[in-house]
Amino acid sequence: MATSRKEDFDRLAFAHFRELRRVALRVCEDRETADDLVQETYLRAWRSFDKFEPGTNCRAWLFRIFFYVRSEYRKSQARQPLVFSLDYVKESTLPSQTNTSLDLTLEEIKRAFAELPEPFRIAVMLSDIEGLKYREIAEVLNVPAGTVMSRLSRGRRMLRAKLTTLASRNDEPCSVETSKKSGRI
Amino acid sequence: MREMLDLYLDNELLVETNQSVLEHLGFCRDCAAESERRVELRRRLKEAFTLEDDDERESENLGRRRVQLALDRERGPRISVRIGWAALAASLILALALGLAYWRIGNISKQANSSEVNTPPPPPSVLIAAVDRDAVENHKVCALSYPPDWTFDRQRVERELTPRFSPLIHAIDRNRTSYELIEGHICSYQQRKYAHLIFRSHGHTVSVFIEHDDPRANPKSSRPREIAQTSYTAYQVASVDTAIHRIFLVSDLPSVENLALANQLFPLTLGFIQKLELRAG
Repeated sequence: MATSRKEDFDRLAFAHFRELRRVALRVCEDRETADDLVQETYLRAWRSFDKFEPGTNCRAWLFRIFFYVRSEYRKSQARQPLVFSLDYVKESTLPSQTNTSLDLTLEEIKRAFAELPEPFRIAVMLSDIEGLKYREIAEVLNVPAGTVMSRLSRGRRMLRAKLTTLASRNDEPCSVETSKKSGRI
Repeated sequence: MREMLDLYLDNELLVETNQSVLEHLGFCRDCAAESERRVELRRRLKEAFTLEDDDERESENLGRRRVQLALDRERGPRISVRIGWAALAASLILALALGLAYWRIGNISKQANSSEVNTPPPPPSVLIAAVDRDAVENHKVCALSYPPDWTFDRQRVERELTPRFSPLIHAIDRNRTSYELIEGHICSYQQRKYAHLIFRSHGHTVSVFIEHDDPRANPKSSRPREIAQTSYTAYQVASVDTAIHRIFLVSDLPSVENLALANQLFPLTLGFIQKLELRAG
């Protein structure tokens, strides 16, 4: 019986190690913290594996535990709660159009993404990189689905704005050496 | 329409709305082009975060192994609360029944006297079995957790083995066997601390453990300075003692092959350890 539980856990939960760690590395300050939180997530998942409903999305369940563990960790570190005004960027200034040919390196895209404020970055990451549905993201982050939609919409617009700025900078004349360094040619 | 485009791409629209977006994209070139750009942006974003280099893969493997070890520790000795209470209740009932039986046959005083005598230490064979068992268990949770494609990284292994044991790698390099060294580090199991070398060949994983041995705690005198071999579950454990170290070789090889491999690997390790002990005085 115990072996079967272990096998089920390895098959259903441990199979998502890579995705969970990828998310952890994007939202934690450093690799060490990310690995600590991933380990704690798996330990808690194992302890409460009986509560996991087979047939539901195990990856979303793990993400949910992870974000809970992470919020506990932040509290224990006595950090200020994340305060961020969702209105700090005027909606009208964000482009509704992708004004770039995406002639950008993956490194530039990563950098632009990393500059997004955390709530938007996490929402875009869970949707566009990890492929979670809105309902699943809402459960993972423990926020209403409407909030997820709003964060996604703004996060994507901000990303488009940043990429457009980057692309227009890249369009400016520059030396061959600079372009080579950036990896674009 | 642009507002709905992301919902459409996320497949989060109702069927009817989805259909009307699809129809619109069929005749509106601007929106169709924007849709393609957004799909491309998502593809690039995903690519940016899912491409891995060698460093990242190694770091992930280490993280995975670390979690596996933590899970194994969690799964190992943990007894559920219900089973724990049941065991306690059973022990109490048994103790009560035994006490009653002794009382009935008038042997209570005899039992009281005997309980004052200190429990004798376990015989050496029991201690040896325990250290061999720990070596096998560590082999299972540590060595067998490395993925088949794990590659040897000399610099990292030298670092992990600490300056004390890292010269062992050169000794092994100079005397190659059919077994390839894939990993080396210092690890702990059940409060025992080992220098751990992991070898592989033809699908078999072999561990060599070097443990600092407390001569007062372990029955050294009962063990000859030659290779001894025992088996525990499906594993063979060859071991040998030096003045203050014990060296183990654990594998799932047949008994004869395990002993033959120990005869190849132990002389290298023994030479190194004896020099180490001489230097330490």
